[in-house]
Amino acid sequence: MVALVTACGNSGGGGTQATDTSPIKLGAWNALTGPIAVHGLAQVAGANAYFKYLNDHGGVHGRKIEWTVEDNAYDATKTVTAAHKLIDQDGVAAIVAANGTAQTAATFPYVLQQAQIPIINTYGGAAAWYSPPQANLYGLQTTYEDQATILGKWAAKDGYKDILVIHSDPAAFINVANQVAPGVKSVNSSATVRDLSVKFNTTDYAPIALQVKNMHPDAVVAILATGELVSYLKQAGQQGLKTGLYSYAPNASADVIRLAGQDAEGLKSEAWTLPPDDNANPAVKEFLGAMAKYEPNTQPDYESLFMWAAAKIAAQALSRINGTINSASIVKAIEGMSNYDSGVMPPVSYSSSNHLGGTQVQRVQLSGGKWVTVGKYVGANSNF
Amino acid sequence: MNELGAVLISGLVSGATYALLGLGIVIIFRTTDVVNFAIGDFGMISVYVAFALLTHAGWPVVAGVIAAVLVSGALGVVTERTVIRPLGPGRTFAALVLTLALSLILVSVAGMLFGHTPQAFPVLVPGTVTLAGLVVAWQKIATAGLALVAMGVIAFFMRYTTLGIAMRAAAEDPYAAKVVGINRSLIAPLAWFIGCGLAGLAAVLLAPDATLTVTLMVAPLFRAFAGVFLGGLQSMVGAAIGGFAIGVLDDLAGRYVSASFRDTIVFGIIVLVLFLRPAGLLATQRRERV
Repeated sequence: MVALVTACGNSGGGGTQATDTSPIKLGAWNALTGPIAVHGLAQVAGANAYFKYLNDHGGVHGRKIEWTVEDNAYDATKTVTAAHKLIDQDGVAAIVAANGTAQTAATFPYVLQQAQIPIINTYGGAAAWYSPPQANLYGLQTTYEDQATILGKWAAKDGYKDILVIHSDPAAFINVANQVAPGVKSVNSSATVRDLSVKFNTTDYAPIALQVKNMHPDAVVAILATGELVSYLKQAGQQGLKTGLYSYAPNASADVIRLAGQDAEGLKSEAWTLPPDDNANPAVKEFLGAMAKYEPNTQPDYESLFMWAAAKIAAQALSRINGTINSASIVKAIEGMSNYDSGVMPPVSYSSSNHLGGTQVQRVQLSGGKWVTVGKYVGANSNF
Repeated sequence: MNELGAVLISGLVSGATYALLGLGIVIIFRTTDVVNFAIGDFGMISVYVAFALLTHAGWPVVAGVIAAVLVSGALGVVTERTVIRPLGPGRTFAALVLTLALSLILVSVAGMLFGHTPQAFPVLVPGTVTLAGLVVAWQKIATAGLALVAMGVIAFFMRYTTLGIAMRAAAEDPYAAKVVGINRSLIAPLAWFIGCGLAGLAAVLLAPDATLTVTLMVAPLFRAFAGVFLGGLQSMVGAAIGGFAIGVLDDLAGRYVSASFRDTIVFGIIVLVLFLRPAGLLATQRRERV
């Protein structure tokens, strides 16, 4: 962080920056209300803490960051309205650290193509967003599809041979769940991978847990939202289900520990970042200090740390601009970032042909009510 | 067989809470002609109050449950007096829309007051018991038991007490009830208190198995209404049976047909039943009052 602020302060910028002290306007949308708000509020807190921290340390080339967040209530239509407001009224130069796969995709025709405003480091996304790369769209998260492949490999490496994938029924979850089997098969071609689709937003997982018990898998990979994973964990605990259990990065959170308690013990998951309570790591310590100061009512979590990193990486791109900061220069700057290490997650690289900066995850396991790291960063193509 | 038993028990427990909610809906509707779409949200708010009392003030479980019932009932009375009664008689549709609006407002206000972070509501009765080879949580047994007791109390109240008989009379024929001296302005808030109190009880029983959020009661209310329409909007017994039926059908469909299409299957059956008996299984066709 000190390095970034120093870089920002020393780079000076071009003639425009020398006289321009106006704020750099960035925007985002996130679910601040509704059932997904628990995630949205934590995510916003992380990015907000970073931008406030950055501003208090001189901003970017002496200019403050003005980050405006619109509530989309996790609704695609409201997200399009939010995009129009941010671009047409607020005049943002980029969308940074927004949330929602389908919600953000709904804005592409206007934001990316018509207004040509870059969308950078969204929480969410799909492999198709970046292959082939789309103009003005840059991502940070290892895709859910790659995560599913990694989960499959991990479960197979752990020796499980009969793996059940439980997933919600919308296509976004199905596409991800379908990638577990290739991961499993790449390690053990004779392993069995079965599939159990559950209606999205199911609150009563008692019959699902019973069905799993009846299927006798030796491991379960859960591609479920946090609330549903918690419901499953509780019911599985009640039924005395003993299987290996894996889930993906959205579920590496303090909420799972708090809500599922002992029933979550032993859960293996992927995480986009290092554990957010890793005080020994200087970059994480910096995050914890900023959260305590700027977002004292939000418990630091994986989601807030990820969005802290999303904001930090975007700010790093801004700091590399020598000259006018606008949408075009932001795109050029971010495409010039190679192997940038934020200190809290795997290094990221972008280029004109690679718009997805992150391809790796950190494996973690719940042990003693705490997420503990398992091994080093891994990607879908890693041997681990 | 063990698995079927577990599915049935799970369905009956869920159904017990739907039945309580449905009973509340019917009591209010029969007495005041209002379909209260905010009833689940009264329950949700009362659970947050109980949560605060249990976890922060250290109240015992029983006191927390009673507090939830009282708070929800009181919210119902306030709503009847300040929102519904000023509309005047016969404004059924306006009242329905108002309760819908109230529901949205309550969810927003609850979000502002209590936040959107899910909370782990304490288990009211910890532990499990093995019944005929099935592991059943005491919480589920307590939920079903309390729901049945509450329904029994309501049945006794309606059948054998003066107030209950007066409520039934006012529901059957408001004009005749008025002629014999039954004051409907006293009966209506009582019906709202009982109906919403039942919702509070349902909510506090549901919360330990779910996570406490402002949307806690959305899905249960949806199913409670299905139970009410299945049993008949005019029939208290029908609403209770309908609630249990929905709970069991929901879990059976989820387990044995498709976990992904449980809503579709359950509500498909309801549509079929309503085609055959539009007033519901146990209600008689309602006559229009003129």
